[in-house]
Amino acid sequence: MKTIVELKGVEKHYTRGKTQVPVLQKLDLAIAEGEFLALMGPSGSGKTTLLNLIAGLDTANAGEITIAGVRIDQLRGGKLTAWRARHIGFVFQFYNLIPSLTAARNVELPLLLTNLSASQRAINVAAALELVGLSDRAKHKPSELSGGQQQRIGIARALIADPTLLVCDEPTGDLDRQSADDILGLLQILNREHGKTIIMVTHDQKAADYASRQLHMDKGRLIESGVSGSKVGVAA
Amino acid sequence: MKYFPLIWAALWRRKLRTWFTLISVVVAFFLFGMLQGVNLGIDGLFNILNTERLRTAGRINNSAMPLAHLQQMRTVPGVKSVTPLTAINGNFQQSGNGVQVLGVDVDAWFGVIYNMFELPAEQLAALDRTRDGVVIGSEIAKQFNLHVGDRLPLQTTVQNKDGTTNWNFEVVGIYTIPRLPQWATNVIGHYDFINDSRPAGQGKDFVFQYITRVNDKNEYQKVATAMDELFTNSPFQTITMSEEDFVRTLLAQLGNIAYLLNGVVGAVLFTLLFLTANTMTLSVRERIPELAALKTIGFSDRALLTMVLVEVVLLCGVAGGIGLGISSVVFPKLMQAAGPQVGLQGLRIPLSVYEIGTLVALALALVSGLPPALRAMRLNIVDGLANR
Repeated sequence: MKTIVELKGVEKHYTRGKTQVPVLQKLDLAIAEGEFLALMGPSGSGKTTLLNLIAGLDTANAGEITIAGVRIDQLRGGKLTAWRARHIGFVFQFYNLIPSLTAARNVELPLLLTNLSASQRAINVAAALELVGLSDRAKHKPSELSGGQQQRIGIARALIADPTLLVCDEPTGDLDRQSADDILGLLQILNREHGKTIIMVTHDQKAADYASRQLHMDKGRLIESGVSGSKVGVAA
Repeated sequence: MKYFPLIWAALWRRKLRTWFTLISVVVAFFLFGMLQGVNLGIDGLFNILNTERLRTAGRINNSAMPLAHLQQMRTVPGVKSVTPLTAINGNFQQSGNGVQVLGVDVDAWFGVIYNMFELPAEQLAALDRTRDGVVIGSEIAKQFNLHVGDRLPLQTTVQNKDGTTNWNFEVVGIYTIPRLPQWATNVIGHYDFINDSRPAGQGKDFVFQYITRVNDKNEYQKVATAMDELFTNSPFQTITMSEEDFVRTLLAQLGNIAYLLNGVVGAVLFTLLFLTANTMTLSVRERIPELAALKTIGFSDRALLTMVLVEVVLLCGVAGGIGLGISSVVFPKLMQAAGPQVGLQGLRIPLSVYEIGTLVALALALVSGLPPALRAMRLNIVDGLANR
């Protein structure tokens, strides 16, 4: 299958005072199109940093990052922002919805950056809400929704512009088990039935089991990989 | 326009705080409108005052002058016309309905001195033949719903020779001032009628002011000096100046008050700057993770800068507009309530106040909104998502 994400010799360090703290060390990674990858590891292992680099939220100190044929490590400023808007759908641990906007308005946000008309945006928003099973909650504000529903809205928002990659940072980290399973099931459907390539950071082995592939990180290195499958079909 | 719901939602994220800020800005711009209305309104008034008309008053404390001065003043070279002026202040129907009746030589007034006052010829003729007749300004007519033929009874503090302080006039005409319609606020009658109606020793045969029209406005100083010299050895010395200088002198005290109040408004606006800046800084600070999420989604740095600035411009613009709007309604009523003695019933907030107010609101918004807007623009996504 075609490689959609490729990292070569990627390094990242943070500077704390006069000290450089290495986070990622000469990291190589390839992710195929249509994969559902779970990135696991203890706190501080560098998994979120890796996710941020792939999503174009942060820049590497060294190495190459190629996403769908584009060297994003060479993009800066407005070009990187525009690339992110087109290719990345991001799902946050704490949903990061705009509390004063309705669910539909939150989902619509990425489409404001496109040239779609208001009526076309409304059609797409309705389709995205239907996909995540929340058509009846379009007019609700985030505070009127449960955590699981808010995360579904977050996923709808990440999907609506049909991004190349769906990037999820601990998407179930703030949810109870049942809600987490629902969200993971939804991600699995998006991966299997809609062909979305998904990269998910998680601490939770049960969550990782929904992925088609697992990678473990420790001290900035990928130390282990495996193919999951124990949860395949469970939530579908 | 498609970002408007996002900006509007951000503005009302904390309703109570937004309301408080909005009210502060409204009050500040209301004050701004009122005080600048007085300042610039009076400045505008000077556009119609000139040196063609002279005002003569008693040299000591603006004391009254004898009517006998009139004949001598008319003999001064360069004088085109002179009218004596007396005034009766009273209330029409109820206290608070202040009316000032000016007693003048009506032919000199309407024919020469204030020929920008427009009065139909038949009404001027009616005024000429009606001793207790008055013509009223169109604004007064509107205010008290008065028409030609109506009586105008006034309760005053001025003795009438019938032993009362009641004065009764007949409305025989309504004048307008096409150039400045809102200044048509006087009631103008015959000096002779008012003078004849006064009992002896109660201001009879005395004049509050003389108003002169000169032939050549460039010669006004010469005429004024000549007039005052006539009465150098009189117990009723005079001081004559151009109408423009006269009003400026009269308003000098008010000008000082305005200067003080301008300082107050300046201080209010300055404080408001920090208040608005603080509100916006807090608002942006609270929204750091949301703003970071917007950047993650693909909103550019410039888009966030613009959205925050538009948000604060919207706040200051709407609130400033409401404040100026309220002042435009309250201002004329306040000038009216100040009474005819103050003589500013016709004062209105000039258009320039709204223009300056708009610029001040915009400047306030940009100065107070720029620091938080820059913060939003420079926000690092990773730090923002971690709410650092």
